[in-house]
Amino acid sequence: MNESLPPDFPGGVADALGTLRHALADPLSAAGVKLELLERRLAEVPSNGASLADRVRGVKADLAAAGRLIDLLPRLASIAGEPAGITSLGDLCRAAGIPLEEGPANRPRLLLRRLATIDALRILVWFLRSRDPLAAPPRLLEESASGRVALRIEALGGSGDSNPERLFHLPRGEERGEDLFLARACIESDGGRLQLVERESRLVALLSWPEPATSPEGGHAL
Amino acid sequence: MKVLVVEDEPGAREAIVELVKELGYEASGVGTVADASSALVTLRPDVCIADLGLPDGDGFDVVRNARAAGRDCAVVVLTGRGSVRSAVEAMKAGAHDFLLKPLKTSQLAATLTQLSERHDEARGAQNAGLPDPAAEGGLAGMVGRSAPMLEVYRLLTRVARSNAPVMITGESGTGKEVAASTVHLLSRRATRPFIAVNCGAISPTLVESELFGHEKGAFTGADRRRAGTFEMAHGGTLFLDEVTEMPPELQVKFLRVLETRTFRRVGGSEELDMDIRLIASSNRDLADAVRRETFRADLYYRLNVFPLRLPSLRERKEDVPLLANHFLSEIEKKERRGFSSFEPGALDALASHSWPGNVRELRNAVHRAYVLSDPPAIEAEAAEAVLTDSGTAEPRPLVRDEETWPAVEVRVGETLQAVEKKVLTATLLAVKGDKRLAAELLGVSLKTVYNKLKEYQLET
Repeated sequence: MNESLPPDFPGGVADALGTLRHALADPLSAAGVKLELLERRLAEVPSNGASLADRVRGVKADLAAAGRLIDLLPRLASIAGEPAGITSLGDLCRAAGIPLEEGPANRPRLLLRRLATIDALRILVWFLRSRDPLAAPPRLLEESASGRVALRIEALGGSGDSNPERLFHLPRGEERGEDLFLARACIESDGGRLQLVERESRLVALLSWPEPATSPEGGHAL
Repeated sequence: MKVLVVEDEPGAREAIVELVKELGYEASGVGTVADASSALVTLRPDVCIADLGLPDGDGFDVVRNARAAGRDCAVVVLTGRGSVRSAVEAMKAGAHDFLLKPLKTSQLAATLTQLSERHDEARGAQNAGLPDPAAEGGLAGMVGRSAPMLEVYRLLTRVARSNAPVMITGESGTGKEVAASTVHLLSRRATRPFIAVNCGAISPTLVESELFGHEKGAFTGADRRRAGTFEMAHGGTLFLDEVTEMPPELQVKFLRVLETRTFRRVGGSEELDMDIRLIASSNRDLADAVRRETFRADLYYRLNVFPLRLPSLRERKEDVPLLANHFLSEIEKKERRGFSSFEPGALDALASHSWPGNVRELRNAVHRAYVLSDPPAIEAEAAEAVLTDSGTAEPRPLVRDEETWPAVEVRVGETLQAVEKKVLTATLLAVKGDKRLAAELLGVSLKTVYNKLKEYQLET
């Protein structure tokens, strides 16, 4: 295997996101260090130094949260930087180590970012089984309806979440939300949709992409 | 300990300098590669914290200049890119470590503490010097004085001084865990924990909580908070054995922990710092696992900063007598039957074998010959008998005739664990207990077979 490292980000939006992460990290880093010094100074002030130090700790926690979020930028950059290729859901699920249970005999070909979609599938399966690691792995079923190719991933254990889609909006302190945010970014980058719904007290992830256009000869254009 | 901070933004530079002083070290700052080069000569710092992006160059130039200055100045690179490439390049260029911006005080403090210990050691005993492995017949727990092993010791000693991740490869039985433990023992982390995790032996469903720990109520059955492997190994070394068998779902999370050096317990919101030296190993072709998409390329690059290949026993046959005597003395210490040597014919027999199972196979053979012999020497006849028992000199060809293997009945709803146990038992029966062949047929490592046998209490 060629040991040369892949480029950081292959130009375009991906490179811009990488640069943005770097540019944001600099002032956040400086602010964090300055606050650390301030907290240490305040801790030595005899009167109300301790309560002021508490406030500084609060600001530091806010900065740490921002610092964590900017770590999503290189991951978004990887998604943006990956070219889409022709593949099928069966192939992607197999590569993700989570084979499809059933599906149409003649699986449609899709134009998707392979590595990012494999990651997204793994994230979703991981999320769906995280509430009950001892339960059987989620079921994956491919469907084709209303001009869209769909994939349903059903959790087989654990209780549901009344509003799982709130996690897409990166609620603070919810690490799982960060992964789901990236999974959705990946699916939507290829024109797909991702929904998280609760059915019969079980969480279900619904993924869908527009069916590929058919060529004049009657076959799929891809 | 003197620390030089190389950062072009004056406010950030002053703050880092002040913080480093606050942490108890001498510190000064410069803003360019050129100024850093002069300061390396005039100030003679022990540590240099260098931003990756500087007006007249980058942190790598500082690393190169520090090396060219000929002083043992450890360079810690600060990077804001957050990419695998920048971290790996920094370590490969010779940086001691890298820190990701936004800078965390706890991580900076941990890095400086480590470097300070190294600095104190160097000033004190002037490193007293390790014993000569060629004269001693080995290094720490490793035995051998052949040329391939002397090269391994040289590399191990070198890498032990840094914080770089090490990827140990080699055939099954070559002693990868012993080598990992040696890196730990030679490093500044030697007094802290060395934790080994077999990635192929952890239940895939619980692997996340095994590694990261969990909070009470995080999932069904989590009735109390539990520390994971990362917490237990804090300050020490984490050895990931059979890393290619890490479940794919976990690899992305794992990479993230390596990049940010922070993690959370499952179901927790508190962010914990990771201060761990990582050593991984595999007896599989990692590059092939990457090509087959079972192992992430970015994780491969991140772990493979310092590759180390252990030679097979075939490649260092001159070490066989030394190893055999070492194992004999170990066994004798435990069993005390009065053995002290080998008959010359016994050593000749051992030396002529090709050892497909490497050092582990040799150790087992010595033990079996010990059982068959009468003291005080291992008999030639006993050595020959155990080698005949262990099969041909060459590895047995793998027979993949699925048609002829017996079938195993599996019910719908049967637990995966029960299915795994059934398949393992049936395979071992079919191959008449040949664990190596069973491992090959099942597509797992020999060590995983042993671990599973232990887990399911199937070992006789």
